[in-house]
Amino acid sequence: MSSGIFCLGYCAPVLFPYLHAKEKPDWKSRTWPLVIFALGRLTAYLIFGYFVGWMGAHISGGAPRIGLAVSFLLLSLLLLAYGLSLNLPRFETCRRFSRFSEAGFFPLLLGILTGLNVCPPFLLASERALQHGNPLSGAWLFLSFYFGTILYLLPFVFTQLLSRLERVRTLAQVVALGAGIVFSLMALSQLLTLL
Amino acid sequence: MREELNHTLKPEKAAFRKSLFTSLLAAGFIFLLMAIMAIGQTYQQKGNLLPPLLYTVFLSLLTFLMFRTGVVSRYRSIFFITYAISFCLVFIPQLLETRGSILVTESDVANLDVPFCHIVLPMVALPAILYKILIFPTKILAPVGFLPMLFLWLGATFTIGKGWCSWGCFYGGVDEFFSKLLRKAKLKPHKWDKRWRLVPYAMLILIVFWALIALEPVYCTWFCPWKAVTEFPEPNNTLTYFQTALFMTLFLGLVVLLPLFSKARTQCGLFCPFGAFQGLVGVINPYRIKIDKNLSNDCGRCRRVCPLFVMTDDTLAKCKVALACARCGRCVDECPNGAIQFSMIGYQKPGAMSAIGNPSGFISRANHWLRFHWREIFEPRTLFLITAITFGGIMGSGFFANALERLWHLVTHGSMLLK
Repeated sequence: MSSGIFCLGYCAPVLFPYLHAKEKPDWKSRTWPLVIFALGRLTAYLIFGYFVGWMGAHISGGAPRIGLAVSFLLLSLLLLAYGLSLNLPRFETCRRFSRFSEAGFFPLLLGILTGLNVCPPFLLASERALQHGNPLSGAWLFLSFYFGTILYLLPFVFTQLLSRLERVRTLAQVVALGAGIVFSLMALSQLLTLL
Repeated sequence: MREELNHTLKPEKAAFRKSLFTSLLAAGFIFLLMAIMAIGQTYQQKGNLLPPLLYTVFLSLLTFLMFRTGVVSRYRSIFFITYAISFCLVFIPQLLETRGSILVTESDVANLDVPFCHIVLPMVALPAILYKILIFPTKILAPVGFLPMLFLWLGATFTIGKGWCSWGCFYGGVDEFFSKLLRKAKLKPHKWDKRWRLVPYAMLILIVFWALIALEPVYCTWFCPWKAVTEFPEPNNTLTYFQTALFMTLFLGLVVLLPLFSKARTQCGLFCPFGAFQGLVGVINPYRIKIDKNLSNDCGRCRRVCPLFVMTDDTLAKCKVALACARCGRCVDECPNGAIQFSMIGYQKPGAMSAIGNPSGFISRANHWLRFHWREIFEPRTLFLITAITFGGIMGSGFFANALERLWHLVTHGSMLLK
C-alpha cells in the first residue's frame, strides 16, 4: 500500500485525460470505465507476475525492460491518438480513432499498458517473484500488490464530476497529448539506457 | 502641463498619472531602500559602490516615470529586460569562475552543488511531503539552495502573487526582450486556438506526477529551455544528446523565434509550468486586475496586446482576466477608456472628492491636499507598483551591479571573469 503513490503517479496522467475529457452524465458512465481500467491493470499484473515467477532465475536483465519500454511506447501512441482524436475531430482518421476509443475494451487496453511499468515498487515485486521461482506464487504476489495499490485510484470516481466544467474537459484533452509525449520520452529513455 | 494633458484623457485614465509629490515620494522610497542595500552590500563585500549606486538611480528614475506618466508596462519592461540580461551576464561567468565550466558534472550533482531554481518547486513538493526527500541536487541552506529559494517564493507569492512572472522572475525578461525587437508582429497570437493557453497547466500536471514516479526534476532533465542560458549536463551519450537537442530547440522556438514574430511571451504564456503553478497559488495575493464593463467599449485592444494570452472573449465577458495574468500592466496602459485597472480584493473605489470649502483658507487647502495625496498613495495601483518594484528591485540588485562590473572588466581587461 505504501507504494500506491507510485501507481497513482503512473495512472493519473492516463486516467485524468481519459476520464475527464468528456462529460459523464451518470454514475454508471463514471464508474464503469474506471472498473474496466482497473481490470486491465489486474490482467497486466497477473500475467506479468505469472511470467516472472515462471521464468524464475533464468530471466535476463535487459529483456523485461525492453518489454516494458515497448508497453510505454504503445501507451504513448494510444494517448497521442486519443488526444489527437479529441483535439482534431474534423479529420477522418481522428474520427475513426474516436470510435475506437469509445469501445469498451479501450480502458482495458490502457489499464494493461499502464499496469506494466518499471516503478521501483513494481521492480521490487518482480524481484520477489523471481526469487519465488513459481508462476502461481508470482501471480499471487502481484495480486496482493494490486489490491494494496488500487485504493489510490478510487478518488477518480469523484473527480469526474469536474468534467462538467468545459475548462476541465479541454485541459484533459491537452493533457492527453502531453501524457502521450511524456510516456514516449520515458520509453525512449528506457530504450536508450539499454543501448 | 499635466492638467492640460489630463484634459484630453478620460477621468479614469487621467487618474493613472500621479502628482509630482506622490511620484517623488515613490521614487524617493525606492532610492532610499536601494541606497541602504547598496551601501550595506559594498561595505560587506568591500566592493565598488558605483555600480549599485547606478542601479539605485536607474530604478528610482523608472519608478518616478512610472508614477508620473501613468505608463507601467514600458518602464517595467525596461527594468525586466535589464534584470534578465544582467542575470545571464552574471550567472554564466560566475559558473566559469567557480566550476570552470557551465556544464553540470556528476561530481556537482554528488556534492549537491547545483543552484536551486524556482521552476523546480512544484516538482519537489510531493516527493518532499511523501518521502521526505529533496529530488534536486542542491544544498538545503546554501545561499542559492532550497530553503532561501523557498522563502523567496513564499514572499513573492504573498506580496505580488502571479506578478512574479512580470516583476520577479529572472528568466522572463529574455523572451520579453525578443518580443520587443520587431516593430510589428508577423504572427497573430490572439487568434491562436485557446487550447494552447492550457498547455502550461497540462505541463504542470504531467511534471508533478512524472517527478513523483521518477524521483528526479524531470522538467529540468527534459524540457527547461532556460538551461541554454544557465547550465546543463554534459552530453555524453545518445540520451543526453537527445535531451540537449530538445531543450535547445525549445529555447530557440519558444524564447527566441516565437516571441520575435508574435511579439508575445510565448515561453511564459504557453509553456512554463511554474507560471501555471504561480497562477494557482497566487490567488492568495490580494492584488487583482479589474475590468469595468461600463467603461469598456469592447474594442478588443487588451486582447491583442496581452503578451501572456490571458485576455479572451470568455474572460472579457466575465469582466475578469485569467489566472495566468502576471500584472504586467500592458492592458491597463493600452485601454483607451481606463476600463482596466489594478485593484485589490475588497477595495471599493471612493467617490469623487468634495470641492474645497473656502479656496482661500489655508486649513481647507491643506486638508484637501492631504486627503488627495492620501488617496493617491493608498490606492491599489500605487501599493501594487511599489511592492512589485521593491521586490523586483531587491531581486535584481546583485545581478545588475555585478553585470556592470563585469562589463567594465570586459572593456578594460578583455574578459568578464573577475577571478
